[in-house]
Order: sequence, then structure tokens, then C-alpha cells
Amino acid sequence: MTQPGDRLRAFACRVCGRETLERVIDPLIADLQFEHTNAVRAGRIWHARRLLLGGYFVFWKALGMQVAAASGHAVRAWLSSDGHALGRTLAFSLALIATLTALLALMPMYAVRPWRAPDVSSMTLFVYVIPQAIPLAVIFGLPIGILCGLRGRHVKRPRRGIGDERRSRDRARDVRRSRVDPSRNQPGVSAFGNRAGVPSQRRQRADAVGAALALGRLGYAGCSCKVLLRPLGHLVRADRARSVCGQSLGDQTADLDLRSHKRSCFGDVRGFRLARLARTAGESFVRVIASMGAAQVVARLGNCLAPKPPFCSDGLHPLRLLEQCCAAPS
Amino acid sequence: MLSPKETLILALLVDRDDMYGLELVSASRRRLKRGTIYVTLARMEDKGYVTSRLEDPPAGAGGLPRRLYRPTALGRRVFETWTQVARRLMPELAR
Repeated sequence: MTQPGDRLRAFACRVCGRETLERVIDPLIADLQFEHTNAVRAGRIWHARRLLLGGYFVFWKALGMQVAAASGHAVRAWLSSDGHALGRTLAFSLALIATLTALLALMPMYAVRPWRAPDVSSMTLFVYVIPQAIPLAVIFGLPIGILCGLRGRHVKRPRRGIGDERRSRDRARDVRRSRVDPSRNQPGVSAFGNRAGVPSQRRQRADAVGAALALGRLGYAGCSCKVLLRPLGHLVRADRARSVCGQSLGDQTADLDLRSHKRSCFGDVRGFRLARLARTAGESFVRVIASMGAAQVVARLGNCLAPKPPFCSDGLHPLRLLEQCCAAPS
Repeated sequence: MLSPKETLILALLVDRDDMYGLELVSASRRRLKRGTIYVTLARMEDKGYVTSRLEDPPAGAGGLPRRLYRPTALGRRVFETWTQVARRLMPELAR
């Protein structure tokens, strides 16, 4: 015998993944069937029908939310691939096309003024001119947008050696460990904290600041991520910030395209390495104090496409630090 | 760290342990919606805050089995810590 919602479930089977089906669609339909059966057994036919209608509405709403979320993730990942090259190209092209269209439409409108052609209204002229302006604007705007959007970017990701990748992964793991729990991370401490010539006072300050800021969220967006490098001290010039952040990260600067802005450095990570690391770290925000108490590296990696339990595999969870903060006297 | 909906769900689950999605909706006094509750619960399951299991299929009826949710140890910890933090940061909540 066919149960209410069986057809909806069959439809959902075609469009949803197994996980979505098991965890979102099936419970919805199970609730619908449960409520409907109870109402029918109690002899409340009209109530059962109302529940059925409500259940169908809820089903489509949930399905719409799932589709919207999945589409959003896919579009974001597509736009952010290759260092946001596609997104930037699209934005430049659209902006240029809109500007050129407006310019091309306004010029004839300005030429044909009301005193020259009083029987032609501005709106009529505008509607008449726009379809002619758009193709011209596309012809000029699209190539210029592509040139502006892809400036200096590798459209194809460059290949890197296995040794490079391992070194980078190890370094990032050490940074993360030294940030999350400096005392348990000897490689991180030796790599960043105990550098020759670094005064112990600065090391202590780095530890203190590190312990205070290890809370937040870390996500990732497809294959790329943003890294924000911000020197802790005030009144640091941009070039100084950049050099300090470069020193702090050491070999990792090979993966970063550092740009100075005011007193901070912004870096786009080229390639998949840090994003892959973030995937293993799960959904947590990690702020990394890299070294010498001078640079704060905030790795912020967009949205989670496949969130995992929020524990770092090789470090402490920020929750532990939050608990410690709560336990500490205010 | 925890959204308001997640906090509410964890509060209800910590209070009563095993609950169905529909029970959560009715216990929340319309603050949770039927269309979004399972999406939120799935997200919380991904994060490891709740766990779920299917109940036994209803006898004779032939419908789908319903899903029961319960907070994990991590979920309880997160909820307690989050509540403490909220109280410390916003003392008016504790009153």
C-alpha cells in the first residue's frame, strides 16, 4: 500500500544525495506519515488532509533550502577557484559591460534632444537604443574584463613537487599546533619560538597572546583560502609588516602572494595545500601567532563544504581553550 | 560557535535526552520550524554535537521509521561552555 509522501520520497531520491535523503528528507516524510496515520486512526479526516498539505509544503521548503545551499557552495567554489580569478573576471566584465551600455545609450539620447525631435520621448529612445548598445558593450567589455580579471594569474594551477607539499604541510601543522597548544608542540616551538636572537620576553608575549586568541572558526572554500597577516605591534609600516610576516612564515611564503595594505599583509594562498589542511582540521577557526610575538596569522578559509567533527586531528580544540578561559578568574 | 537555533536544540536535548524532530519543534514553542529543523540537526550531526538513530519501524503501518536525536558528550560540553561564556559576557542573561 502506498503511504503518503512515498512519491515525494521517490522524487527526492533522484535529486538528493544519500546523506541528505537519510538525514533530512526521510525524517520529514516519516513525521508526515506518522502524523497522518494518527489523525486517520482518530477519525479526523480533514485534519489528516491538512497535515498532508502542510507536510508537502515543508518537504518542498526543505528541498529548496538544500538545493539553494548546494548551489551556493558550488557557485562559490567555482568563483573562488584559481585565486578568485573567475569571480574577478566576471565582476570586471559585468561592470564594464554595464558602463559601456550606459555610455553608448546616453550619447544618442544627448544628441537627440527634445528641441530637435520633440515627438520622441526619452524613454522611447532609451528602449530603442539599449538593444543596440548591449552587443557593442559586450564586444568591448568582455575582453577588457577578462584581461583585467586574469592579470598576472595562472589559470591552470602549477604543479608542485611531493617534497614541497610535505614540507609545507608539516610547517602548517607546526604553526597550528604551536598556536593551539604551544607547550605541546616542540617542533613548532623550535621552529618559531626558539629562534636565535629572539628575546625571551618576546617569546613569552607571543605565548600569552597566542593563548588568548585561539578561539573562532576555520572553514574553507573549495580550493583556495585567504590568509590575513597582521603584526601585533602598533605603528608598524606596511613594508615592515610584510617583511615580518614573511620572516615568520618562512618557507610558507612560497605559497602566499603577500600584499601590503595599511598595517596589515593580505595573502592569497595559491593552490590547494592549506585548504586541504583545513579540511583535516575540521570546522574551527585557528588564529596562528607565528613567531617572535610580531606577526599574527589568521587563516580564514571560507565556508565548509563537507564539515567534519570540529577537532583538529593533531592539536587541541579551541573549545578546550575556551573552557580554560572560563575557568580562569576574570 | 553556536547559532541560536543550535543552542535551543542543544538546550532541549540536554534537558530531555532522546527526542524526535517533531517533538523538538513542538517543545520549542514555534521557535524552530518543521522545514528547517532537520537541516539544522544534520549540520549539528556533522559537527558532532548530536547523534541520531532510527527507531524501530512502526508495526503494521509500513511507514518510514522516525529518527531519534540525542546530544553527544561533545555537544553537552559545548552547550555548557557556551552557556557559561554567554553568562560571563552578558550577565543579564544569567538573571
